[in-house]
Amino acid sequence: MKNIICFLTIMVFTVSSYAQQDAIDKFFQSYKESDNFTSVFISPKMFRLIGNMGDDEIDADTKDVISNLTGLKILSSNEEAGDGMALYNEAKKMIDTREYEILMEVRDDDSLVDFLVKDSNNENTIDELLLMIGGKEFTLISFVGKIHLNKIGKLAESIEIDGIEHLDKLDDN
Amino acid sequence: MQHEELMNMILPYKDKLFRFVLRLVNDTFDAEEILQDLMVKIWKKKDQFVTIENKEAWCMTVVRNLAYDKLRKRKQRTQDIEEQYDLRDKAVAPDVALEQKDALRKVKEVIAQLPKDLRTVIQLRDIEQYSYQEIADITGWTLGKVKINLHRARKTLQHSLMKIEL
Amino acid sequence: MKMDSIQAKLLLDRYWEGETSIEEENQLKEFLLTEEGRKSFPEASALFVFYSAESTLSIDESKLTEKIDDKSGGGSDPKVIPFNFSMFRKIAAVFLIVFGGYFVWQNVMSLQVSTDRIVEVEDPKEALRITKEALALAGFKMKQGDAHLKKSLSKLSFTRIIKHDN
Repeated sequence: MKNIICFLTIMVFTVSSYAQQDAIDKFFQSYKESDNFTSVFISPKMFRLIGNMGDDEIDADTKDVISNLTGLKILSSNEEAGDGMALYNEAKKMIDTREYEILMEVRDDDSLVDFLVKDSNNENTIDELLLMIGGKEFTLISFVGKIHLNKIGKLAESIEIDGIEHLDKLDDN
Repeated sequence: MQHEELMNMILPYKDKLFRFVLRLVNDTFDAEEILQDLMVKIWKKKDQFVTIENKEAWCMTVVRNLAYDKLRKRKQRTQDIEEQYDLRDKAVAPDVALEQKDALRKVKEVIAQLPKDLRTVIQLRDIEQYSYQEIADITGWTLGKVKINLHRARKTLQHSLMKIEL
Repeated sequence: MKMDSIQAKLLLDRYWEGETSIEEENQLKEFLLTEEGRKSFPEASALFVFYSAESTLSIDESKLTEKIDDKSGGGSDPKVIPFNFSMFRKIAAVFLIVFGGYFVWQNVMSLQVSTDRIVEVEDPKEALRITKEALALAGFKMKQGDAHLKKSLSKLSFTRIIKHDN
Protein backbone atom coordinates (compact mmCIF):
# COMPACT_ATOMS: atom_id res chain seq x y z
CA MET A 1 0.00 0.00 0.00
CA LYS A 2 2.86 2.35 0.89
CA ASN A 3 4.25 1.89 -2.56
CA ILE A 4 0.99 2.89 -4.08
CA ILE A 5 0.74 6.06 -1.99
CA CYS A 6 4.32 6.91 -2.94
CA PHE A 7 3.52 6.32 -6.57
CA LEU A 8 0.43 8.52 -6.45
CA THR A 9 2.33 11.34 -4.74
CA ILE A 10 5.00 11.23 -7.43
CA MET A 11 2.30 11.17 -10.01
CA VAL A 12 0.67 14.29 -8.58
CA PHE A 13 3.93 16.17 -8.88
CA THR A 14 4.86 14.96 -12.32
CA VAL A 15 1.38 15.53 -13.64
CA SER A 16 1.09 19.01 -12.20
CA SER A 17 4.46 20.05 -13.55
CA TYR A 18 3.53 18.54 -16.87
CA ALA A 19 0.30 20.47 -16.88
CA GLN A 20 2.01 23.80 -16.63
CA GLN A 21 0.70 26.55 -18.83
CA ASP A 22 1.00 25.89 -22.50
CA ALA A 23 1.05 28.51 -25.20
CA ILE A 24 -2.71 28.65 -25.50
CA ASP A 25 -3.10 29.16 -21.76
CA LYS A 26 -0.56 31.95 -21.78
CA PHE A 27 -2.28 33.67 -24.62
CA PHE A 28 -5.63 33.13 -23.04
CA GLN A 29 -4.50 34.67 -19.75
CA SER A 30 -3.96 37.99 -21.47
CA TYR A 31 -7.43 37.96 -23.00
CA LYS A 32 -9.24 36.56 -20.03
CA GLU A 33 -11.54 39.52 -19.66
CA SER A 34 -12.44 39.66 -23.30
CA ASP A 35 -15.58 38.04 -24.67
CA ASN A 36 -14.18 38.03 -28.14
CA PHE A 37 -12.47 34.68 -27.94
CA THR A 38 -13.85 31.20 -27.80
CA SER A 39 -11.85 28.23 -26.83
CA VAL A 40 -12.49 24.51 -27.08
CA PHE A 41 -10.73 21.87 -25.07
CA ILE A 42 -10.78 18.12 -25.64
CA SER A 43 -9.54 16.13 -22.68
CA PRO A 44 -7.42 12.98 -22.59
CA LYS A 45 -10.52 11.16 -21.41
CA MET A 46 -12.33 12.10 -24.60
CA PHE A 47 -9.44 10.84 -26.67
CA ARG A 48 -9.59 7.54 -24.86
CA LEU A 49 -13.32 7.32 -25.55
CA ILE A 50 -12.66 8.08 -29.22
CA GLY A 51 -10.03 5.34 -29.19
CA ASN A 52 -12.71 2.88 -28.09
CA MET A 53 -15.07 3.75 -30.92
CA GLY A 54 -15.89 1.00 -33.37
CA ASP A 55 -15.15 0.72 -37.08
CA ASP A 56 -18.54 2.12 -37.85
CA GLU A 57 -17.64 5.47 -36.38
CA ILE A 58 -14.00 5.96 -37.26
CA ASP A 59 -11.64 4.60 -39.89
CA ALA A 60 -8.34 2.95 -39.10
CA ASP A 61 -5.98 5.76 -40.19
CA THR A 62 -7.81 8.48 -38.30
CA LYS A 63 -7.95 6.26 -35.24
CA ASP A 64 -4.23 5.64 -35.48
CA VAL A 65 -3.51 9.37 -35.31
CA ILE A 66 -6.17 10.26 -32.75
CA SER A 67 -5.39 7.43 -30.35
CA ASN A 68 -1.94 8.94 -29.85
CA LEU A 69 -3.32 12.36 -28.92
CA THR A 70 -3.86 13.34 -25.31
CA GLY A 71 -5.20 16.82 -25.71
CA LEU A 72 -6.51 19.35 -28.18
CA LYS A 73 -7.14 23.01 -27.57
CA ILE A 74 -8.46 25.53 -30.01
CA LEU A 75 -8.64 29.25 -29.40
CA SER A 76 -10.21 31.50 -31.94
CA SER A 77 -11.09 35.13 -32.11
CA ASN A 78 -14.31 36.53 -33.47
CA GLU A 79 -14.64 39.63 -35.60
CA GLU A 80 -14.88 42.00 -32.63
CA ALA A 81 -11.54 40.86 -31.30
CA GLY A 82 -9.88 42.97 -33.95
CA ASP A 83 -7.44 42.28 -36.73
CA GLY A 84 -6.44 38.63 -36.82
CA MET A 85 -3.02 39.49 -38.15
CA ALA A 86 -2.28 41.79 -35.21
CA LEU A 87 -3.33 39.09 -32.76
CA TYR A 88 -1.19 36.62 -34.65
CA ASN A 89 1.86 38.87 -34.30
CA GLU A 90 1.13 39.39 -30.65
CA ALA A 91 0.82 35.65 -30.02
CA LYS A 92 4.02 35.04 -31.88
CA LYS A 93 5.90 37.24 -29.42
CA MET A 94 4.62 35.13 -26.54
CA ILE A 95 6.07 31.92 -27.91
CA ASP A 96 9.07 30.75 -25.98
CA THR A 97 11.55 29.84 -28.67
CA ARG A 98 13.45 27.61 -26.28
CA GLU A 99 10.36 25.48 -26.04
CA TYR A 100 9.00 25.61 -29.55
CA GLU A 101 10.74 25.19 -32.82
CA ILE A 102 9.35 26.63 -36.05
CA LEU A 103 8.65 23.79 -38.42
CA MET A 104 7.32 25.85 -41.28
CA GLU A 105 5.39 28.92 -42.29
CA VAL A 106 2.72 28.72 -44.92
CA ARG A 107 1.51 31.86 -46.60
CA ASP A 108 -1.35 32.16 -48.97
CA ASP A 109 -3.35 35.09 -50.25
CA ASP A 110 -5.21 35.91 -47.10
CA SER A 111 -3.64 33.95 -44.28
CA LEU A 112 -0.40 33.09 -42.61
CA VAL A 113 0.09 29.81 -40.81
CA ASP A 114 2.95 28.91 -38.50
CA PHE A 115 3.69 25.34 -37.57
CA LEU A 116 5.48 25.17 -34.24
CA VAL A 117 6.58 21.95 -32.61
CA LYS A 118 7.70 20.89 -29.19
CA ASP A 119 10.22 18.14 -29.71
CA SER A 120 10.14 14.83 -27.89
CA ASN A 121 12.98 12.46 -27.16
CA ASN A 122 11.64 10.19 -29.80
CA GLU A 123 13.00 10.81 -33.28
CA ASN A 124 9.78 10.15 -35.15
CA THR A 125 7.31 11.95 -33.00
CA ILE A 126 6.80 15.36 -31.41
CA ASP A 127 5.11 16.24 -28.12
CA GLU A 128 3.07 19.19 -29.29
CA LEU A 129 2.05 20.65 -32.59
CA LEU A 130 0.96 24.26 -32.39
CA LEU A 131 -0.68 25.99 -35.32
CA MET A 132 -0.94 29.76 -35.35
CA ILE A 133 -3.23 31.03 -38.04
CA GLY A 134 -3.49 34.73 -38.75
CA GLY A 135 -5.84 36.22 -41.29
CA LYS A 136 -9.20 37.88 -40.97
CA GLU A 137 -9.49 36.03 -37.70
CA PHE A 138 -6.91 34.53 -35.43
CA THR A 139 -6.79 30.87 -34.46
CA LEU A 140 -4.48 28.84 -32.28
CA ILE A 141 -4.65 25.06 -32.37
CA SER A 142 -2.58 22.92 -30.07
CA PHE A 143 -2.36 19.15 -30.43
CA VAL A 144 -0.66 17.39 -27.53
CA GLY A 145 0.40 13.76 -27.45
CA LYS A 146 2.63 11.49 -29.44
CA ILE A 147 2.34 13.11 -32.82
CA HIS A 148 3.59 11.70 -36.11
CA LEU A 149 3.62 14.58 -38.56
CA ASN A 150 3.81 12.24 -41.52
CA LYS A 151 0.65 10.51 -40.47
CA ILE A 152 -1.23 13.80 -40.22
CA GLY A 153 0.00 14.68 -43.70
CA LYS A 154 -1.15 11.32 -45.03
CA LEU A 155 -4.50 11.68 -43.35
CA ALA A 156 -5.02 14.92 -45.21
CA GLU A 157 -4.52 13.06 -48.47
CA SER A 158 -7.28 10.63 -47.67
CA ILE A 159 -9.68 13.39 -46.71
CA GLU A 160 -11.12 15.22 -49.69
CA ILE A 161 -9.23 18.37 -48.89
CA ASP A 162 -10.25 20.46 -51.84
CA GLY A 163 -13.81 20.06 -50.62
CA ILE A 164 -12.96 21.76 -47.35
CA GLU A 165 -12.04 25.00 -49.01
CA HIS A 166 -15.35 25.31 -50.78
CA LEU A 167 -17.51 23.95 -48.06
CA ASP A 168 -18.88 27.21 -46.76
CA LYS A 169 -19.87 28.36 -50.22
CA LEU A 170 -22.11 25.40 -50.85
CA ASP A 171 -23.59 24.80 -47.47
CA ASP A 172 -26.79 26.68 -48.12
CA ASN A 173 -27.88 24.74 -51.20
CA MET B 1 -30.05 -15.77 -31.28
CA GLN B 2 -29.77 -18.02 -34.29
CA HIS B 3 -28.24 -17.34 -37.67
CA GLU B 4 -31.66 -17.21 -39.22
CA GLU B 5 -32.84 -14.40 -36.99
CA LEU B 6 -29.72 -12.44 -37.76
CA MET B 7 -30.08 -13.13 -41.46
CA ASN B 8 -33.65 -11.91 -41.40
CA MET B 9 -32.46 -8.60 -40.04
CA ILE B 10 -29.85 -8.22 -42.78
CA LEU B 11 -31.78 -9.65 -45.72
CA PRO B 12 -33.73 -6.50 -46.63
CA TYR B 13 -30.54 -4.63 -47.46
CA LYS B 14 -27.96 -7.29 -48.16
CA ASP B 15 -27.99 -6.49 -51.88
CA LYS B 16 -27.59 -2.76 -51.28
CA LEU B 17 -24.62 -3.49 -49.06
CA PHE B 18 -23.15 -5.82 -51.63
CA ARG B 19 -23.52 -3.37 -54.52
CA PHE B 20 -22.06 -0.54 -52.49
CA VAL B 21 -19.01 -2.55 -51.47
CA LEU B 22 -18.59 -4.07 -54.91
CA ARG B 23 -18.43 -0.66 -56.56
CA LEU B 24 -15.96 0.54 -53.96
CA VAL B 25 -13.54 -2.36 -54.15
CA ASN B 26 -14.31 -3.45 -57.72
CA ASP B 27 -13.75 -7.07 -56.87
CA THR B 28 -16.51 -9.60 -56.30
CA PHE B 29 -14.41 -11.78 -54.05
CA ASP B 30 -13.32 -8.89 -51.82
CA ALA B 31 -16.88 -7.56 -51.70
CA GLU B 32 -18.17 -10.91 -50.51
CA GLU B 33 -15.43 -11.11 -47.96
CA ILE B 34 -16.26 -7.68 -46.57
CA LEU B 35 -19.88 -8.67 -46.20
CA GLN B 36 -18.83 -11.84 -44.43
CA ASP B 37 -16.67 -9.76 -42.10
CA LEU B 38 -19.66 -7.55 -41.42
CA MET B 39 -21.70 -10.61 -40.52
CA VAL B 40 -18.97 -11.81 -38.16
CA LYS B 41 -18.89 -8.38 -36.54
CA ILE B 42 -22.64 -8.41 -36.09
CA TRP B 43 -22.58 -11.98 -34.85
CA LYS B 44 -19.99 -11.11 -32.21
CA LYS B 45 -21.91 -8.06 -31.03
CA LYS B 46 -25.36 -9.44 -31.66
CA ASP B 47 -26.80 -8.17 -28.38
CA GLN B 48 -25.78 -4.61 -29.20
CA PHE B 49 -26.77 -4.98 -32.83
CA VAL B 50 -30.41 -5.70 -32.06
CA THR B 51 -30.62 -2.43 -30.17
CA ILE B 52 -29.34 -0.32 -33.07
CA GLU B 53 -32.16 1.77 -34.43
CA ASN B 54 -31.03 2.35 -37.99
CA LYS B 55 -29.39 -0.97 -38.80
CA GLU B 56 -29.18 -0.20 -42.49
CA ALA B 57 -27.15 2.99 -42.01
CA TRP B 58 -24.98 1.28 -39.41
CA CYS B 59 -24.19 -1.62 -41.76
CA MET B 60 -23.52 0.74 -44.66
CA THR B 61 -21.07 2.70 -42.51
CA VAL B 62 -19.26 -0.43 -41.34
CA VAL B 63 -18.90 -1.88 -44.83
CA ARG B 64 -17.77 1.47 -46.18
CA ASN B 65 -14.99 1.65 -43.60
CA LEU B 66 -14.02 -1.96 -44.26
CA ALA B 67 -13.95 -1.26 -48.00
CA TYR B 68 -11.85 1.88 -47.54
CA ASP B 69 -9.42 -0.10 -45.39
CA LYS B 70 -9.20 -2.75 -48.07
CA LEU B 71 -8.58 -0.12 -50.74
CA ARG B 72 -5.78 1.35 -48.72
CA LYS B 73 -4.17 -2.02 -48.33
CA ARG B 74 -4.05 -2.85 -51.97
CA LYS B 75 -3.76 -1.32 -55.37
CA GLN B 76 -6.89 -1.89 -57.35
CA ARG B 77 -6.83 -5.01 -59.43
CA THR B 78 -8.12 -3.91 -62.77
CA GLN B 79 -8.63 -7.32 -64.31
CA ASP B 80 -11.44 -7.91 -61.87
CA ILE B 81 -13.51 -5.30 -63.60
CA GLU B 82 -13.60 -7.62 -66.59
CA GLU B 83 -14.77 -10.41 -64.35
CA GLN B 84 -17.75 -8.37 -63.31
CA TYR B 85 -18.89 -7.72 -66.85
CA ASP B 86 -20.04 -11.30 -67.17
CA LEU B 87 -21.77 -11.07 -63.87
CA ARG B 88 -23.33 -7.77 -64.79
CA ASP B 89 -24.51 -8.95 -68.15
CA LYS B 90 -26.81 -11.43 -66.47
CA ALA B 91 -28.46 -8.58 -64.66
CA VAL B 92 -29.18 -6.72 -67.88
CA ALA B 93 -32.46 -7.55 -69.59
CA PRO B 94 -31.88 -10.08 -72.40
CA ASP B 95 -33.30 -7.76 -75.04
CA VAL B 96 -30.69 -5.10 -74.42
CA ALA B 97 -28.85 -4.63 -77.65
CA LEU B 98 -25.16 -5.42 -78.00
CA GLU B 99 -24.24 -1.79 -78.40
CA GLN B 100 -25.99 -0.95 -75.19
CA LYS B 101 -23.95 -3.60 -73.44
CA ASP B 102 -20.84 -1.98 -74.78
CA ALA B 103 -22.06 1.41 -73.58
CA LEU B 104 -22.68 -0.09 -70.14
CA ARG B 105 -19.16 -1.41 -70.06
CA LYS B 106 -17.80 2.04 -70.85
CA VAL B 107 -19.97 3.71 -68.24
CA LYS B 108 -18.79 1.21 -65.68
CA GLU B 109 -15.19 1.95 -66.54
CA VAL B 110 -15.81 5.67 -66.14
CA ILE B 111 -17.39 5.15 -62.72
CA ALA B 112 -14.66 2.74 -61.62
CA GLN B 113 -12.11 5.44 -62.35
CA LEU B 114 -13.70 7.99 -60.05
CA PRO B 115 -11.92 8.62 -56.72
CA LYS B 116 -13.39 6.49 -53.96
CA ASP B 117 -15.37 9.25 -52.25
CA LEU B 118 -17.01 10.21 -55.53
CA ARG B 119 -17.79 6.56 -56.28
CA THR B 120 -19.30 6.32 -52.83
CA VAL B 121 -21.62 9.24 -53.32
CA ILE B 122 -22.76 8.10 -56.78
CA GLN B 123 -23.48 4.63 -55.50
CA LEU B 124 -25.42 5.91 -52.50
CA ARG B 125 -27.38 8.58 -54.31
CA ASP B 126 -27.87 7.47 -57.89
CA ILE B 127 -28.09 3.74 -57.42
CA GLU B 128 -29.45 3.33 -53.91
CA GLN B 129 -31.33 6.66 -53.84
CA TYR B 130 -30.42 7.74 -50.33
CA SER B 131 -31.22 11.28 -49.22
CA TYR B 132 -28.39 13.74 -48.50
CA GLN B 133 -28.95 13.31 -44.78
CA GLU B 134 -28.78 9.51 -45.02
CA ILE B 135 -25.57 9.76 -47.03
CA ALA B 136 -24.13 12.10 -44.40
CA ASP B 137 -25.08 9.61 -41.69
CA ILE B 138 -23.46 6.71 -43.52
CA THR B 139 -20.27 8.47 -44.54
CA GLY B 140 -19.79 10.78 -41.57
CA TRP B 141 -19.47 13.72 -43.97
CA THR B 142 -21.20 17.02 -43.38
CA LEU B 143 -24.22 17.79 -45.56
CA GLY B 144 -22.09 20.37 -47.35
CA LYS B 145 -19.47 17.78 -48.16
CA VAL B 146 -22.10 15.35 -49.44
CA LYS B 147 -23.31 18.03 -51.84
CA ILE B 148 -19.84 18.96 -52.94
CA ASN B 149 -18.87 15.37 -53.59
CA LEU B 150 -22.08 14.70 -55.50
CA HIS B 151 -21.58 17.83 -57.57
CA ARG B 152 -18.00 16.88 -58.34
CA ALA B 153 -18.89 13.27 -59.07
CA ARG B 154 -21.62 14.18 -61.54
CA LYS B 155 -19.53 16.86 -63.23
CA THR B 156 -16.68 14.39 -63.62
CA LEU B 157 -19.05 11.76 -65.00
CA GLN B 158 -20.56 14.26 -67.41
CA HIS B 159 -17.17 15.26 -68.78
CA SER B 160 -15.86 11.72 -68.98
CA LEU B 161 -19.00 10.47 -70.73
CA MET B 162 -18.78 13.28 -73.29
CA LYS B 163 -15.27 12.18 -74.14
CA ILE B 164 -16.01 8.53 -74.81
CA GLU B 165 -17.89 7.35 -77.86
CA LEU B 166 -21.09 5.63 -76.93
CA MET C 1 -46.89 13.80 -66.46
CA LYS C 2 -45.04 12.76 -69.57
CA MET C 3 -41.79 14.53 -70.08
CA ASP C 4 -40.54 15.88 -73.40
CA SER C 5 -36.91 16.27 -74.35
CA ILE C 6 -36.88 20.01 -73.58
CA GLN C 7 -38.08 19.43 -70.05
CA ALA C 8 -35.66 16.57 -69.76
CA LYS C 9 -32.79 18.78 -70.91
CA LEU C 10 -33.56 21.30 -68.17
CA LEU C 11 -33.77 18.58 -65.57
CA LEU C 12 -30.62 16.92 -66.84
CA ASP C 13 -28.66 20.16 -66.57
CA ARG C 14 -29.73 20.43 -62.96
CA TYR C 15 -28.90 16.78 -62.45
CA TRP C 16 -25.30 17.29 -63.58
CA GLU C 17 -25.03 20.19 -61.17
CA GLY C 18 -26.23 17.96 -58.32
CA GLU C 19 -29.36 20.02 -57.77
CA THR C 20 -32.15 17.54 -58.41
CA SER C 21 -34.37 15.80 -55.87
CA ILE C 22 -34.79 12.03 -55.81
CA GLU C 23 -38.25 12.36 -57.41
CA GLU C 24 -36.84 14.46 -60.22
CA GLU C 25 -34.05 11.95 -60.69
CA ASN C 26 -36.63 9.20 -61.00
CA GLN C 27 -38.62 11.19 -63.59
CA LEU C 28 -35.41 11.73 -65.50
CA LYS C 29 -34.55 8.06 -65.29
CA GLU C 30 -37.97 7.12 -66.64
CA PHE C 31 -37.50 9.40 -69.64
CA LEU C 32 -33.89 8.42 -70.33
CA LEU C 33 -34.75 4.74 -70.42
CA THR C 34 -37.19 5.32 -73.30
CA GLU C 35 -36.19 5.21 -76.96
CA GLU C 36 -36.65 8.97 -77.23
CA GLY C 37 -34.45 9.52 -74.18
CA ARG C 38 -31.74 7.31 -75.57
CA LYS C 39 -31.71 9.18 -78.88
CA SER C 40 -31.81 12.65 -77.33
CA PHE C 41 -29.18 12.12 -74.65
CA PRO C 42 -27.13 8.99 -75.39
CA GLU C 43 -24.52 9.59 -72.66
CA ALA C 44 -26.98 10.29 -69.88
CA SER C 45 -29.18 7.46 -71.08
CA ALA C 46 -26.27 5.00 -70.93
CA LEU C 47 -25.52 6.20 -67.41
CA PHE C 48 -29.10 5.65 -66.26
CA VAL C 49 -29.32 2.27 -67.98
CA PHE C 50 -26.22 1.38 -66.02
CA TYR C 51 -27.76 2.64 -62.79
CA SER C 52 -30.91 0.63 -63.24
CA ALA C 53 -28.99 -2.51 -64.24
CA GLU C 54 -26.70 -1.96 -61.30
CA SER C 55 -29.58 -1.78 -58.85
CA THR C 56 -30.59 -5.36 -59.68
CA LEU C 57 -27.24 -6.82 -58.69
CA SER C 58 -27.48 -9.14 -55.70
CA ILE C 59 -25.56 -11.48 -53.45
CA ASP C 60 -26.50 -15.01 -52.55
CA GLU C 61 -27.69 -15.45 -48.99
CA SER C 62 -25.43 -18.42 -48.36
CA LYS C 63 -22.36 -16.32 -49.19
CA LEU C 64 -23.04 -14.01 -46.27
CA THR C 65 -22.75 -16.51 -43.47
CA GLU C 66 -19.67 -18.39 -44.70
CA LYS C 67 -17.38 -16.91 -42.07
CA ILE C 68 -19.89 -17.13 -39.24
CA ASP C 69 -20.45 -20.78 -40.03
CA ASP C 70 -16.68 -21.29 -39.74
CA LYS C 71 -16.32 -19.34 -36.53
CA SER C 72 -19.38 -20.03 -34.48
CA GLY C 73 -19.07 -23.73 -35.25
CA GLY C 74 -15.95 -23.97 -33.08
CA GLY C 75 -17.24 -23.95 -29.49
CA SER C 76 -17.41 -20.51 -27.96
CA ASP C 77 -17.62 -21.66 -24.35
CA PRO C 78 -16.17 -19.08 -22.00
CA LYS C 79 -12.89 -20.06 -20.38
CA VAL C 80 -13.02 -20.54 -16.62
CA ILE C 81 -10.18 -18.79 -14.82
CA PRO C 82 -9.55 -20.17 -11.33
CA PHE C 83 -9.81 -17.55 -8.60
CA ASN C 84 -6.43 -16.63 -7.20
CA PHE C 85 -6.10 -14.24 -4.26
CA SER C 86 -2.63 -12.86 -5.02
CA MET C 87 -3.71 -12.13 -8.54
CA PHE C 88 -6.78 -10.37 -7.17
CA ARG C 89 -4.52 -8.15 -5.07
CA LYS C 90 -2.38 -7.30 -8.05
CA ILE C 91 -5.41 -6.45 -10.12
CA ALA C 92 -6.78 -4.28 -7.31
CA ALA C 93 -3.46 -2.45 -7.04
CA VAL C 94 -3.36 -1.81 -10.78
CA PHE C 95 -6.94 -0.52 -10.66
CA LEU C 96 -6.11 1.78 -7.80
CA ILE C 97 -3.08 3.18 -9.58
CA VAL C 98 -4.86 3.62 -12.86
CA PHE C 99 -8.02 5.17 -11.44
CA GLY C 100 -6.15 7.12 -8.79
CA GLY C 101 -3.79 8.48 -11.39
CA TYR C 102 -6.63 9.22 -13.70
CA PHE C 103 -8.52 11.04 -10.93
CA VAL C 104 -5.46 13.14 -10.10
CA TRP C 105 -4.89 13.91 -13.76
CA GLN C 106 -8.50 14.92 -14.26
CA ASN C 107 -8.32 17.18 -11.22
CA VAL C 108 -5.19 18.88 -12.39
CA MET C 109 -6.62 19.32 -15.87
CA SER C 110 -9.90 20.70 -14.57
CA LEU C 111 -8.09 23.09 -12.22
CA GLN C 112 -6.12 24.28 -15.15
CA VAL C 113 -9.03 24.83 -17.45
CA SER C 114 -11.69 25.94 -15.03
CA THR C 115 -9.99 29.28 -14.57
CA ASP C 116 -10.29 29.97 -18.24
CA ARG C 117 -13.20 30.50 -20.55
CA ILE C 118 -12.62 27.14 -22.14
CA VAL C 119 -15.44 24.94 -23.29
CA GLU C 120 -14.72 21.32 -22.62
CA VAL C 121 -16.22 18.99 -25.19
CA GLU C 122 -18.07 16.20 -23.47
CA ASP C 123 -19.52 14.22 -26.32
CA PRO C 124 -17.01 11.83 -27.91
CA LYS C 125 -18.66 12.16 -31.32
CA GLU C 126 -18.41 15.93 -31.19
CA ALA C 127 -14.83 15.59 -29.96
CA LEU C 128 -14.07 13.30 -32.90
CA ARG C 129 -15.61 15.73 -35.36
CA ILE C 130 -13.65 18.68 -34.00
CA THR C 131 -10.41 16.71 -33.90
CA LYS C 132 -10.92 15.49 -37.44
CA GLU C 133 -11.51 19.03 -38.64
CA ALA C 134 -8.46 20.33 -36.79
CA LEU C 135 -6.34 17.49 -38.20
CA ALA C 136 -7.68 18.10 -41.68
CA LEU C 137 -6.81 21.78 -41.42
CA ALA C 138 -3.32 20.98 -40.12
CA GLY C 139 -2.77 18.37 -42.80
CA PHE C 140 -4.11 20.64 -45.50
CA LYS C 141 -1.86 23.52 -44.51
CA MET C 142 1.05 21.10 -44.24
CA LYS C 143 0.42 19.96 -47.78
CA GLN C 144 0.27 23.57 -48.93
CA GLY C 145 3.57 24.17 -47.17
CA ASP C 146 5.12 21.14 -48.83
CA ALA C 147 3.98 22.36 -52.21
CA HIS C 148 5.48 25.80 -51.56
CA LEU C 149 8.68 24.17 -50.41
CA LYS C 150 8.96 22.03 -53.50
CA LYS C 151 8.32 25.08 -55.66
CA SER C 152 10.98 27.12 -53.91
CA LEU C 153 13.44 24.25 -54.04
CA SER C 154 12.95 23.82 -57.74
CA LYS C 155 13.45 27.57 -58.21
CA LEU C 156 16.58 27.34 -56.11
CA SER C 157 18.11 24.55 -58.12
CA PHE C 158 17.17 26.40 -61.27
CA THR C 159 19.10 29.51 -60.17
CA ARG C 160 22.04 27.34 -59.27
CA ILE C 161 22.06 25.83 -62.71
CA ILE C 162 22.05 29.33 -64.20
CA LYS C 163 24.95 30.32 -61.98
CA HIS C 164 26.90 27.26 -63.06
CA ASP C 165 26.27 28.11 -66.64
CA ASN C 166 27.73 31.53 -66.14
